Amino acid sequence: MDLSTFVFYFFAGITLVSALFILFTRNILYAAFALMLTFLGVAGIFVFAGAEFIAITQILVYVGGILVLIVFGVMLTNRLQGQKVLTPVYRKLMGLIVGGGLFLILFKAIVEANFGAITWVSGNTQTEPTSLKKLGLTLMTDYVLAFEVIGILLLIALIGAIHMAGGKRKEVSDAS
Amino acid sequence: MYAFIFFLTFLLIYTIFAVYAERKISAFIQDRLGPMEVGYYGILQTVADLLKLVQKEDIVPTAADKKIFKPAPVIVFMAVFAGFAVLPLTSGFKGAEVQIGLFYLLAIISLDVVGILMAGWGSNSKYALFGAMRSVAQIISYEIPLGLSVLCVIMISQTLSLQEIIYQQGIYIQHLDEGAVNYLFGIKALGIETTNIGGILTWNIFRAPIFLIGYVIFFIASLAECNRAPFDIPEAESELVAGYHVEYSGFRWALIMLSEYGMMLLVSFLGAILFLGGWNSPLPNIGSFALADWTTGEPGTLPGHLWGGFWLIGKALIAVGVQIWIRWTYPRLRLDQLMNLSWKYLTPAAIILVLLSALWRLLMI
Amino acid sequence: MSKKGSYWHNIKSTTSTLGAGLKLTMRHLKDARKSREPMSPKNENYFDRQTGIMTTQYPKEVIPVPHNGRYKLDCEIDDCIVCDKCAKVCPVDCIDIEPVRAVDEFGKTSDGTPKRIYAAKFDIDMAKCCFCGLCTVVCPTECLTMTDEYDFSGFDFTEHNFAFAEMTPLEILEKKQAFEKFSAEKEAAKQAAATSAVPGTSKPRIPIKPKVRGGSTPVQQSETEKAEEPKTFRPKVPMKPRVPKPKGNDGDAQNPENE
Repeated sequence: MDLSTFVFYFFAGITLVSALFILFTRNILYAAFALMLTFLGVAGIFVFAGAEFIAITQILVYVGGILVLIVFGVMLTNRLQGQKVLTPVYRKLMGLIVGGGLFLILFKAIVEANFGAITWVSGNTQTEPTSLKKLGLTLMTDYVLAFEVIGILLLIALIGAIHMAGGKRKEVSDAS
Repeated sequence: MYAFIFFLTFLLIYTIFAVYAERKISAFIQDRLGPMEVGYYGILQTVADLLKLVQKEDIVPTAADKKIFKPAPVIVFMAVFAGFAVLPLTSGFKGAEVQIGLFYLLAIISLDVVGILMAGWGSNSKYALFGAMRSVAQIISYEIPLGLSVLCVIMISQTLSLQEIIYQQGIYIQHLDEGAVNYLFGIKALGIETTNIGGILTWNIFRAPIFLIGYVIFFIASLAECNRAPFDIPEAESELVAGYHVEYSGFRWALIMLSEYGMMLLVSFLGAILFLGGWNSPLPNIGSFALADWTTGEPGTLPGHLWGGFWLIGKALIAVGVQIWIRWTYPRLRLDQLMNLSWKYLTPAAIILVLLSALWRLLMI
Repeated sequence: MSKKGSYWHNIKSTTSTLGAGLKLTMRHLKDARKSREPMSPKNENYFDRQTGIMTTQYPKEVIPVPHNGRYKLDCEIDDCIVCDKCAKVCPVDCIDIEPVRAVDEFGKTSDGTPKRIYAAKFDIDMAKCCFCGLCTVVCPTECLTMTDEYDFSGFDFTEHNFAFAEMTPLEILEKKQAFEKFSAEKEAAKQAAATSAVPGTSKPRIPIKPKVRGGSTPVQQSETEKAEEPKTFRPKVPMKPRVPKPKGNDGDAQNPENE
């Protein structure tokens, strides 16, 4: 087993184990922190696949943003003083059936699919290490509309959040 | 690998002396003498403190959530230390050669938040929880002006690689890009080429003078990122005892302190790299006095390494010194003042700066 | 545009005040090169130095204290006549004295006052002391003084208890026995005299006498003491008359003997 295989299985293992932990633990907070490991494992796989930018975005957005939001949510909604936040388990049978069925479908599809036949996969064998400039150019030319729309959407969301959070309160000036 | 070893030892030694400097500067500002007993002028005081800390019992509160409580300091330290991986210390000496070093740095800093949350929640103490909540709310808020001010630099430099950003700010700009030239204040229309003058004139704060404001925004936001005074409500001693690390003792506490001072150093390094020319000399070439040439050294050569390390570490340590100076000058901000500053002053200013940077970039070509 | 409290005014005032703050602390930082010398507060230039480091390296550098400062108590036991005034006047009862009467005058203090009582125990508990200095005022022989030594910290409260008595347990025992013997002999002689003279009447007279002699207020105090003490006090009477004869500069000097 060479180093690259080892690294891949290392990150895949982290991802898998922490994902399973999320599934089986009933403590929401543990699940949230295990989610961080999952994200990091996925980020590692992204780096391994040569997609540094996506890996870092993964960490920045999911670990730094969404995960913290989740943990914050759990902490702020914790009404059971002194007790751990546990999730109940409902409808085990249905869950198993749906989950197992979905897994079978995906597994079958992945095994059956012939990825090599897709032209953009087969035609792009050599991965360029410095894909960042290309990514930037593509974003600002081919996908500029989507890019800008998303940007404006996020700005609106930001302003909306500020408005909702602080609009009602009266302004208190405190400087001098 | 050698960068790892270098930064680990450097961080340890730096922390020891930064704590000493912190105590001495605070003492001098308050007309005291500070530690005087251990070693000459008390210089070994922190070493003694560290030895004491390492020997201390690692107390884990009974009611703490041990699975979260124990690894939290490690995660905090890991996040900060991982940031050093991409810092180019000199023109040739660096950890990882990554194209997106700057982006990585911003992302890895945000991992810090998770560690703080774990420490705060795992301690099962109201002070720790309040501290963690405040800390996270503050760090996330100040990540926006910080990110925006960094974005300005990215827009001017047109790269995410820290090493490239530094190269652009000195006399070796053509090392990476043959056709690149620097103009005074970045304005081509002025017609004064500073490519070969170098020194302070090619630093980012001179290449685009709007970065003077940018650096101030960056500096303020970075203070908040480090939970340093005046943004230290997360660990406000007078109300929260010590904030999110109140339940920690012994080695784990030392680790948290180490990462706190490491964070100060990291943002100081980042500020020096982004705005203050990185490892480039501040002395310009004046006529026959080629001060910049003499004090920079060809990239990759031994003088290049020595001068580069000297300038970058020097700049970073001065920034740390200013952080300490500020800490002992200003009172702590209240939470609403903190949010006011971030959302009403720094963020709008940073957004305007992004716009101006885009315009400035047009002047440069 | 820059109305007070407005957005731009806030920015302006913040910048200027922050700058002023930094300047202030930088000035202190610069002044820290200078350090003030240890100087007594009695010195005329004591308040002149307003900048520089204000603290001193305490155990190494000491700011001189005035000689009339009220710090640790010191007792010159050789000069002490064990009058117990200090113990009585002490508001916090920090002086603990155990007297042993002598058979006869056994010495003189440096100012010539005769000593008739041995100090078996003269303990001053500085942990209790409130540094009022009353004991030094009442001391008739000025053997009790407040020194300028103020650093007598220890690891235990008992270290704050300073014993000034110099007698060994054996000496104390000897003196006690000698006095008991002496008083018993006296008693016997009295008894003999009483029987030979008017029997029964002499006894009540004796307690009255000392009161008349003492005259002043301390007598009432001494009475309580008397109640506690066993009969051995009776013999005091014959000794009393001697007290006023020597120097006896003032009333105070007489009173100790009352006890």
